[in-house]
Amino acid sequence: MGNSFIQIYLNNRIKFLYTFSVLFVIFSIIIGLFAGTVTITVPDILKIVTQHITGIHLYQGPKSTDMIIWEIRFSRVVLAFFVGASLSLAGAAFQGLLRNPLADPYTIGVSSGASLGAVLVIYFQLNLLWLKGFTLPIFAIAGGGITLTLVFGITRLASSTLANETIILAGIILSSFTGALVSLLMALTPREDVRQILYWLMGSVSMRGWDHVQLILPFFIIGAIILLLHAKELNGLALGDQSAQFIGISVKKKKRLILIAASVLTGGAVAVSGAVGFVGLVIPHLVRLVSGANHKHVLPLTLLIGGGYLVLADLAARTIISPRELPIGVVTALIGAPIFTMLLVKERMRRRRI
Amino acid sequence: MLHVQNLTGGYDKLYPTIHNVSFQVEKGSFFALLGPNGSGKTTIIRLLMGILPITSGKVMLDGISIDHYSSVGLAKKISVLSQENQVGMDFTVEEIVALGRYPYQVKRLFYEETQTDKDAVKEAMKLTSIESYKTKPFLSLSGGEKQRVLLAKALAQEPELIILDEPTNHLDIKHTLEILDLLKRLQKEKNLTVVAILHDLNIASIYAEAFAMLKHGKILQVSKGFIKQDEALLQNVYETDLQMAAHPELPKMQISFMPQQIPKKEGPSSSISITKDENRLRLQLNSQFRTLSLGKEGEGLTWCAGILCTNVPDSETNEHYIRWEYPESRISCFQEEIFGTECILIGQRDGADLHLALFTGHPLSDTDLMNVAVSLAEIRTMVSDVPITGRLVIGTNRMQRKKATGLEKNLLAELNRWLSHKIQGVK
Repeated sequence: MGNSFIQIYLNNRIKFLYTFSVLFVIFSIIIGLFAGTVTITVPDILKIVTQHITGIHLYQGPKSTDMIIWEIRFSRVVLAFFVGASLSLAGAAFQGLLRNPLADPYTIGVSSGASLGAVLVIYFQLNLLWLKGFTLPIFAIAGGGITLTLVFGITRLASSTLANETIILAGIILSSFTGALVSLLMALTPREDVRQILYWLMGSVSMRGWDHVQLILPFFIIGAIILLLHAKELNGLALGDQSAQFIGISVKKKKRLILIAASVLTGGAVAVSGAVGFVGLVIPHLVRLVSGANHKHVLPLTLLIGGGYLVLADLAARTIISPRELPIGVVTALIGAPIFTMLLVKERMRRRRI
Repeated sequence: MLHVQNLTGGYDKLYPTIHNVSFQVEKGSFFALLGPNGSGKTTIIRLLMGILPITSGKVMLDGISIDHYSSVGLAKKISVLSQENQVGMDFTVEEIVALGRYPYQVKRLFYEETQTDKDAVKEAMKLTSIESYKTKPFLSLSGGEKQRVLLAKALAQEPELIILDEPTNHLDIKHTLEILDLLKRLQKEKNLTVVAILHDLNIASIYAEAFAMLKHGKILQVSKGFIKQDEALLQNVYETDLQMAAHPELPKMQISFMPQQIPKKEGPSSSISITKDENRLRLQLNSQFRTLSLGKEGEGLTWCAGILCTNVPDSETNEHYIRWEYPESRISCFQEEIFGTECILIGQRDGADLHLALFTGHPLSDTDLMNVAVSLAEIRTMVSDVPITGRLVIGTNRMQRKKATGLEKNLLAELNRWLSHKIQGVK
């Protein structure tokens, strides 16, 4: 009897968490669409969005309002959602895989590699015609990819078993190295252009449009599907590589696949938005605190909450000192750092009680 | 079930840790891998499970070479309870146990649990009696509880063979026996085959049915159980002074270890002092003597610090003393040096009984104590025409280093002669 009560309670709690997360996403998207210099009513917003998605003609208002909602605000909100979802999901995967609660998309060096790629484009004023407007994001993704390959290469040379410590160390080494290169480029950049690099480094989702959504979408879909299918393996790996092997997980293969998927997510996100920090670190922690460690729930919940969170963070970034905008990375860091500190302290208190 | 033939391999291909190791594990048996730290026990398990590369040799599981198994296929047959225990995340007990179902779930695209999975998890938790805390976070458990949870995870895998790497490490004796008893039960009920690395030789001796003794990555001996003759082997393997004796209740050997740091004194024969008056004799030993105490209230093989024989009520208490309090008894005592060491014979005549105690500075083995006791009993019957009873105590000073053998046989004969001679006086 008692057991089935607990079971029902647990099931209900998980159901509640999913419902809450979906509502949170819808709520944050609507708020994200609503806020701005031009005020548009919520029913109008809903009409415009449904009209574009389903093709049914619902909205009869001015064309400019339709433009503002669909082309400017909605694309921005959707981009923010994908960036947030990618970074958080990648963070959850890195933490689970490396068994290190402090791991995040930045640990493994992919995002600094991507940053280097982007900064190179800005520094050399590259604009390859055949890449159209995507020179910067594509260089960023390439930078991330090269860094990941190097991380694997170093790890391979230093440890035959893809040991976690070696992966983290290789990530840190390459992060520092690429970070130094970025600083070098900044030092060489004329003063008026440094601002552009700095702004990019702090991250932003403004003035991107649907092109960028299209750019991140394939990365997001591939990365997210691979990770969501590997919840079992992430759970098993939490016991240690050897124990995971003993329950039948092909550790090396799965580890590589998960690392690549998480890096694809990170690379895609960094390419379109720049380096947005703290999302991948804080959101998985927050989710685990309420859902438990089981990746079956952690991964989808992190995806939803992370996406919604970045939509709200972007909202804050563009409204706090309106009409000017803050880089979104500043907002996430300003919110994230205190929350993370609080989580650490709270976790410690909770452990002491047990 | 598991055949290991000439297995060689390890961390480094050029310098393998394991050399030419062969052994067989029968289905449904309990096999123990023994050996000191660094002898390669864990490495063997890693080689078996394909974590380390095999340089040469074969490992056959049910007649099929182990590298023909996929990692999932292997996990369905063998589960391992390793020493690695690094759960980084806040999983609940039930979630940890459910991880053991991975080999049966891997083919399914998403994370679903079938009724079979749920039943297996439930059964495993029931067997290890961890159901009561299944919703607790794993990290909040005590060491013994954690070990039981990990064992439940291994059982949820429904293996035919379970390999345990020091399953009772950090556990107290109650939990140690609980876990091993459980394994023993599963072995009987489900025909589970158990291979365990054990550090406690006495525990291994009780539970295991076959042993492989390893040193420096080589197997020195595979046997069905310890025998007295293994003493030398064990001394060599563990580089420790030890002795084997039978378990008091089970037909198994138990091992007693001799520490180096408790010095055996070169005790002088004057380590025996006697105070005596008309009604009382008190024999005090400056270190405890190994003693065989027979007859009514006899304690068998034990240790004692002296003996007190009186014929008046005595309030004096002495720990580890043998007390003979018989009113109206006559006490006599003889002392002599035999082969340079003091021997003392005490007799206490109490009606029809003749109680005899012999203490000697010569170090006698337990067997010799019994031999002397038998002689003493025989000699005692010779003093009287009617059957004679009474207690017998033989004490020997084990704190002295063993002297040259060869003397022992002469010593026993000489003791016998002396005893036959003196017993007349006791009468």
